[in-house]
Amino acid sequence: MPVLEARDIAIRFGGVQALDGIDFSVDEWEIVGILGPNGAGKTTFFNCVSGFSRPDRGSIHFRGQDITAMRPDERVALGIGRTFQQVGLVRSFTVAENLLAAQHLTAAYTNLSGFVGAPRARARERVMRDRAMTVLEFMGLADLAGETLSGLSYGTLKMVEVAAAIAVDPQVLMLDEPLAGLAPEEATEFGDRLLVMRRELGLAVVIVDHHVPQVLRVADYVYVLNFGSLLAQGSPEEIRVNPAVAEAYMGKEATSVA
Amino acid sequence: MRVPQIRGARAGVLVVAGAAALAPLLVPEVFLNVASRAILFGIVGLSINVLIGYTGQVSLGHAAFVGIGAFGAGFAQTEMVLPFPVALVFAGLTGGVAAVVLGGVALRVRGLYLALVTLAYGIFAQEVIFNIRSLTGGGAGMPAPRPSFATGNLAYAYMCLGLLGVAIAFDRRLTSSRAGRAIQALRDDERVAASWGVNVTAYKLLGFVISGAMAGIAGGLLASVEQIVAPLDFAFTLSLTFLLMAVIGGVGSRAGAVVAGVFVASLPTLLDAAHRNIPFPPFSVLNASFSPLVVALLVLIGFLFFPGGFAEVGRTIAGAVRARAARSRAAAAVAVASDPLIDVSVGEGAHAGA
Amino acid sequence: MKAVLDVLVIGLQNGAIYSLVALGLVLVYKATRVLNFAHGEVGTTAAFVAWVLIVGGDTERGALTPGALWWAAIPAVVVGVLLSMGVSTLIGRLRGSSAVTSLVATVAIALLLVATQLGFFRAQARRFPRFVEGSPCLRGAADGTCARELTIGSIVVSWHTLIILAVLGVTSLLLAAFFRTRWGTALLAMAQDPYAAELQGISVRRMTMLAWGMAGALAAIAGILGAGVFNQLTPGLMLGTFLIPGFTAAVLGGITSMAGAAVGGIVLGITVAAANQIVQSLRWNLPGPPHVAVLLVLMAVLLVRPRGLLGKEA
Repeated sequence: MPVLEARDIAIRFGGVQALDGIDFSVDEWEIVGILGPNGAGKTTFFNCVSGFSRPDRGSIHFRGQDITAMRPDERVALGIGRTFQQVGLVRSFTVAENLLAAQHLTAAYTNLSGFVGAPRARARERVMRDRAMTVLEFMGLADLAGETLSGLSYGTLKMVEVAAAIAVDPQVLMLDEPLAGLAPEEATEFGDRLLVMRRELGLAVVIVDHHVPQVLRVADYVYVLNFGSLLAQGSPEEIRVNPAVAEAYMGKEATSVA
Repeated sequence: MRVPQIRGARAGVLVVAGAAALAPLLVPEVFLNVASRAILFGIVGLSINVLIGYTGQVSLGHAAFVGIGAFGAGFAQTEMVLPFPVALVFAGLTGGVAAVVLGGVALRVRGLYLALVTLAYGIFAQEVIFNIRSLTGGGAGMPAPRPSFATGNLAYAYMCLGLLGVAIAFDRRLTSSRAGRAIQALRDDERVAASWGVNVTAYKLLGFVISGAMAGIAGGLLASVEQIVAPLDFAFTLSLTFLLMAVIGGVGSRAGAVVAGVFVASLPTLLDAAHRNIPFPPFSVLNASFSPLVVALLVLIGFLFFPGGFAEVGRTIAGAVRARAARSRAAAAVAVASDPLIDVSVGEGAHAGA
Repeated sequence: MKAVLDVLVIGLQNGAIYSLVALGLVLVYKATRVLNFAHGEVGTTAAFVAWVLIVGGDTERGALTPGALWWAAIPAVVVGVLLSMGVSTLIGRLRGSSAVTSLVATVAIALLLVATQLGFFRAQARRFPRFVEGSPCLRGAADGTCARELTIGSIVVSWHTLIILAVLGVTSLLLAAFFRTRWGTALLAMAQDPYAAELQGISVRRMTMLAWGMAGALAAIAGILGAGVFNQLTPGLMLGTFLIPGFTAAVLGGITSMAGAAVGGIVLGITVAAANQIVQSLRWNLPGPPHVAVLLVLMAVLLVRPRGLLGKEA
């Protein structure tokens, strides 16, 4: 059974049909890419799946359970994590504090015990701090733990955001344009890290991005959106030589993407 | 040779705590009630800081929560004949409930409109709720006796000081726990907080409840300073004063909130004392009735030069002190390195083969 | 029937002042997106300026020079204009000015103004004249007093009320005309899109000063007329009596609509009068003074329809 599934998702904004009947699924440990030109509806789709937008039609399922009516934070509790197009971090927190805040659901102590400083709360906080450091080390950001966000570069902030999303301990991680603004070497490095993440953390990953070569390199399966509809879907090789996809991205003369 | 380290923050806190603990003994008897009020304004400052600083909401009607707590405590003791500690808990409850009602509104209304709602709410409380005779004794006021173990002014001041300590400790626990982080995260970015599993509605309301409960308890304690509560004590201009207090202290700063509260409450007395004892301007001109003027001026100066309020001033001074200390450490190191009488190859910890 | 007329008259009397205050608030909000909490106190300060001139400088024992208000109003309005422009400059210099920050700053300025008034004039209430005292006399009596004054329903309509209504009407017409002039359209353009306006050669700074200056004049007029309502001037008068209803009227009418401000004030006045009449006739013993209804209207509008009657943004 797929871990995450979307059936016939459609949504309309103002006069525009942003999504028109999208079917989508992610299997355990799969890396699924979503491609499409600007305005294709990729982020809108993400918002529907993660609960920030309510579709007019269709349903979302997590391990068979219908989650269409759930709030975003309820979906996180099930195991869906995500990042945002504009870097989604708490600006006034340090890197480490962001990672601690992201462990909100795995903190495993009651707020009341937190207020009175009970031993359980203190112990769990130590565990959370250790976990935050582990994740930062995994992402190669350990030496930035105590830094405030304001001094960090855009690329670094994106990495911190992914670290926080990992700290949530999701089963499916949805990344919204994680490669945007990254230099080519950084993008390749991130792609490699993604493969390591899948292997070591046992995650399924959904990645939306414009960086076609990188997505085709790491994904197991790719969906291509255009003007709110599914233009094509298949393995990276199939997508690479798909003429309709090439035309959507690069005009009538192109024969392949990347 | 080791240059002495400056245990900056730790030492500073201990000194301040020690001074605070001694303060009630050093204050002349006639000013003890003023000192109690000042301490309690510190708690109010903390409660506002939770709402404005941590939860990121605006509050132009905070005196309502304090007043509701004050009348709640008075009512509990006078009409329900409950002992003081229970009355205080009741005060916290009523403050929390009043705040959560406003919180419910804050879920739907934002920014300037929310500011106006909080203002209206505050005035409404003062004019309507505080004037319901059966609940609050009408214009004459409601008696609010002190607990039997703290009837004297000195004892009461120490009790207030102790509770301020509890409030500060609670605030520290709050900010270093998951609830505090959740609340502050949603202040900066609700979507991000939700994407980390925070139930934004619940934690926003929690922020209101905590703020209201703290304000209510402060109100209950304030009631028993003069041992009578009257509606005029909580006019909406007091709400505005509280708001300005938060700004002066520096929004988001625990220490700033307490210092600003103590300062604003003591200002009239301080001005009077200065007026009587310091013969030159501006003190010769300013007396207690200029207190609102001074507060408003400080706010405007703050906005222009120190948006972070007292907290920013404190940080600037602390930063400057640390910079000087670092420079003197560096200078000392240079002095050591260039002194021909000291063998630099043998340093601390170089116990090879020990 | 008489009750309905009463409600209308009282509603109009109070509502007209609310409208005047609201016009100034909306003008500033439209132009600079700032809710000016200091608007009322600019008016009170201007009224005090007039008062000092009327008592001939003798603030302790001076008597009100009859008819002095007519000319003393002029420097008062000038002071209002200058003071308001000063507030605008101060707000403009704020660091990190979000809308709420600006509001808090205007709160501080309002309290500063009240504190200054208290410093000069103490908390004492001072007698303040109206432009014209008394009410229109429909039939004179033999001894020179008035046998029958202008009465609608059971309310005696004073000259002051008529003057307020007239001022509101004239002001509304003048403002409507102003917004058709070149300066007026420039102001509206700046309000819509300051950046684009600047590119068109419209000086945002000058337009801002113009808007705040005009609002200052409105505040001064409202202050003088407001003090006349009670025949009394105290520090903090406007903040305490007419500012919140003014805000409510502005929000009710639509915070971005000048027409809404004028209409909102009248509607608010009549609504509040009606509510109070109903409560009185039902003999409910509700706590709180009559103007609590104003607060309820404010909260209701903010919760149900934040953009008000004629406004366009939420």
